[in-house]
Amino acid sequence: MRALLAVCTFAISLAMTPWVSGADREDVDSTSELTIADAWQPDAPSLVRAGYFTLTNTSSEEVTLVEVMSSAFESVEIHRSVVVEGIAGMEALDRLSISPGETVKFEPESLHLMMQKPKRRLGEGDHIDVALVFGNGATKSFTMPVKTRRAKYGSASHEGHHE
Amino acid sequence: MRVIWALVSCLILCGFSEAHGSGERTRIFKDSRPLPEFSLLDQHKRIYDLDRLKGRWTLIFIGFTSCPDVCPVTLMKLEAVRAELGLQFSPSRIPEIVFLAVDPQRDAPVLTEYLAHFHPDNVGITGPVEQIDTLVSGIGGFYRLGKPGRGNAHYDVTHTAAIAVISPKAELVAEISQPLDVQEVSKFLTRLIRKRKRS
Repeated sequence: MRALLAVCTFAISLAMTPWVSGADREDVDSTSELTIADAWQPDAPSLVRAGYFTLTNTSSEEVTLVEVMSSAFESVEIHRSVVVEGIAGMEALDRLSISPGETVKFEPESLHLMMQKPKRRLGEGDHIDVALVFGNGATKSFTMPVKTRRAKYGSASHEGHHE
Repeated sequence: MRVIWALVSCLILCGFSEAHGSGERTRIFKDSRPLPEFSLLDQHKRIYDLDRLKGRWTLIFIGFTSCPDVCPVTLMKLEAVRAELGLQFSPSRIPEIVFLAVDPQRDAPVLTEYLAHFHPDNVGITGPVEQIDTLVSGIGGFYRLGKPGRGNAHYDVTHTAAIAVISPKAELVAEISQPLDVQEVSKFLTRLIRKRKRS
């Protein structure tokens, strides 16, 4: 009986592996219908860092981003910077739906990852692993390089990307 | 206490409702408003008070060091504005950029390192809450510290997004709303600084 239970447990754990075992999840890239571009993290002196990238859903179904993970940080949240009647703030998003064919941009002064408490000292040239987890069980892993804002934009004057 | 500041800032904004501007996101106040006495510390632990504001143009914006997105972008954009103005004006007439960090518990320990990450001419200031509140009120601003989230000690700080433009007489004379457009802000400040020189 005990042996049977052990076999069952093993079988169940195998079946569940990519989605249940948190440590392994980020190594699994289960979909090619989600594409990532322009991933980067601005180097920052703070324990709270931003993460930017562009995500395109090339599938024919809506997908919902439900979690973001990175082994380099204690926590990662999806945030949006907002200015409402002149007051700046951030709203946390529990989930983010992306329609078929839609491209969602995580970019400065808008949607971004809020990545808290780096587990090691990060600087320009470092690479961070990021895993996106979707409501349908799919995951998407990618690498996010750390760049200075100046390096990213060429010079400070190019940062003004609004209009 | 912060509710009072919210009310005060509303009253101030209402009082300035007749103000006119040169564009949607920039406005010059009809009546310049002298800033109150305050005493804060800059990132080098030097006193930053009214005297430091006198004799030069200053751009003050409210922020906090745990802000990953808007605050660093604002600093970078204002640096770009300074670079643009550097083509028009001598260094003494280019506004100083002041980052008013309103979350001293988290900001004070890291302010030096935070500012070192940006242009060395930038100034970061923080200090006792009542002194911060005095200056925030003086520039017609508002802020509120949020509450920590689920299983997470992080809290957000909501704050006035606009940049306060302070004249060399330490008076609030204009404000610039977000999102900042480097060219638009540069042109606005160029006109303002030239005009005030003549008057």
